Amino acid sequence: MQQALKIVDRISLVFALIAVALFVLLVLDMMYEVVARRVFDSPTLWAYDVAYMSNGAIFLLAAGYTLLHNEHIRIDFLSTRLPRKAQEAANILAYLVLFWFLWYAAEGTINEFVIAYETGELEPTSPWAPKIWPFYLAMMLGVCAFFLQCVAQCVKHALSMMGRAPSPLDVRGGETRSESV
Amino acid sequence: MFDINTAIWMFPVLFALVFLGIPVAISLLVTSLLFGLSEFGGVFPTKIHGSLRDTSSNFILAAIPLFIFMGAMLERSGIAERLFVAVRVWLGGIRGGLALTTIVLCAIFAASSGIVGAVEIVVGLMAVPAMMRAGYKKDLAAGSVCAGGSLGTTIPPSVVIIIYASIVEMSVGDLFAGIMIPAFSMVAMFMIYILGRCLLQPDAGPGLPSDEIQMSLGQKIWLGLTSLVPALALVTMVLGSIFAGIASPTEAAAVGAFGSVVLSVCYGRFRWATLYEAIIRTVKVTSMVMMIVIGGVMFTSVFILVGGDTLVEGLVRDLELTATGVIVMFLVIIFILGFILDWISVLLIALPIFDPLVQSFEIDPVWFGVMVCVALQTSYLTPPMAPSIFYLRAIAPPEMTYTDMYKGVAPFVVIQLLTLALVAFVPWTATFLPQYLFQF
Repeated sequence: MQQALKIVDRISLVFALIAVALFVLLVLDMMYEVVARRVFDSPTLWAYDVAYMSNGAIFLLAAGYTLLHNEHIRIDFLSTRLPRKAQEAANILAYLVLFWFLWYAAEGTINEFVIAYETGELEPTSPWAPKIWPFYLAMMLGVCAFFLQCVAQCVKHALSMMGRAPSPLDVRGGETRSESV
Repeated sequence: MFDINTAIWMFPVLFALVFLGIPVAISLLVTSLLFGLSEFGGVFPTKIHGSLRDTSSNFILAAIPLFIFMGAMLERSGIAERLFVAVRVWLGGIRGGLALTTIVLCAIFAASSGIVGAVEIVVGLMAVPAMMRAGYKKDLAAGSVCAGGSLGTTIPPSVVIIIYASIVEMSVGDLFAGIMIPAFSMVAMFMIYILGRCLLQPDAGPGLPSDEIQMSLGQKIWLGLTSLVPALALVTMVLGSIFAGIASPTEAAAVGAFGSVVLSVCYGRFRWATLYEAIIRTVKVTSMVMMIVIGGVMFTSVFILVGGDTLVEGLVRDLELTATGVIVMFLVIIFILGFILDWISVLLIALPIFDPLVQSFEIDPVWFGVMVCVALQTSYLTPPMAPSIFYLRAIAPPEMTYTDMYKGVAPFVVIQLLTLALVAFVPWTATFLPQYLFQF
């Protein structure tokens, strides 16, 4: 079990690193567009699409890693007064319902990717009209990896209730707790 | 009274989950799933996928990671330390000078990044010990750091405004321009409060002895030039290119992101490890924000599907609300929700429900948007859910208590409400700049 959890955490990290790479791409892409348009007066066809697709991929791919680091905001000024077991149980229940949701989301993104890949679907609004499946692939991977990490978190909550693992609630992931922005 | 339908039950369920300590994004998703499935059964899943795709492929929202990164990079670039010294030599000598320095510094940072967040920690780490040593009253020290930290939500570029604009589909540039005058009036009032307080109560914020800030005029000017000029240049480049209509907010944000790296190279603080830290921080915060956006989009679309819009319309009709009534009700709701929720959730839960009313009453969207953003800023300071206070707690000395902090932020919350009143009674303050800049 511990081994499986470690693998899921590793997957989350790898996807977060892909998100980091995509962020660099996003900056360079937009810079290129600004320079191409303002300095050389020849705007690109593709920068706009690359930008929105990177952003969509960045946050979905990093969602699992963010969860692992307990950085999705919780409003915990009331819940921390409850017994620890009750807090853990509440989280487990919420995850169980969330799985249902994620199942639909995963199904939807997988179908969309498969169809787009097989039919060679083009991005509908863009003059550049690239194939859309790489973006759908990123969405699919992001949703599935988030799903996996949610399962792992749920298991960790259960283990922690049995006193066999540290609680995910104790993870202090930087300053985003009760954050911010 | 109005018909009570299923929609209204979404709120107790959502709040129960949120207060049980379930991450807000997950609470929103779970609530919308439960209500969506119970009303629509098998058709609902296609809806999930649609919201997911629409939110992921929104170009305006791509500005969010870029503006977050700008803040994360600047915070690590060493510019804060330099600016602090530079501003302190000019303002430190007068009464309340260190508190003024804090506000000025935070305002500059707010104008150069989309979120202030951790910048409050960076500034606080320098300002709080300095103020304690100088013998400041603890509440004034706490209040000015927290109030400074809250500026990031209003002073453009700000992530709040980008999300706001993308929900109601209006121009980010208009809102950025609209909030400039109110935001700077707020900063001015913050400073007047600090000066006034120290005038009436001289021991609240003693000036620094002159030997502590002794520096030749040449040095002062050099320090000012090398710290203020690059920061202001970055701000001008980013906001200037949006206001001049040269670049879209997303492009301007990329220029700013790139500029913040250049700045850290110039100050000799650039390390690959720092860059990596800033980016990983950025993707995490972006993911956190965007997951709430997705949850919020799902929540409000289900709310409307299960009859929430008729619920709200019925409420407005039965209470015989006028346009003013709607505005006041909405602002009060935002202010109250701000005590217990973070601003992203407040915005995403409340705005899509009220936006149709705002449109049907033909309320000026820029004016309204500016008031909403100012009202949202209070959520940063109002306990128990007050990010500013959490940040300060992390760095404050033990003798600074929560009571000091609550007492300290109270006057600043009042000033924010005064700013809100200013915009409400003088709509010109919000509408003048956008009209002037984008009149063509």
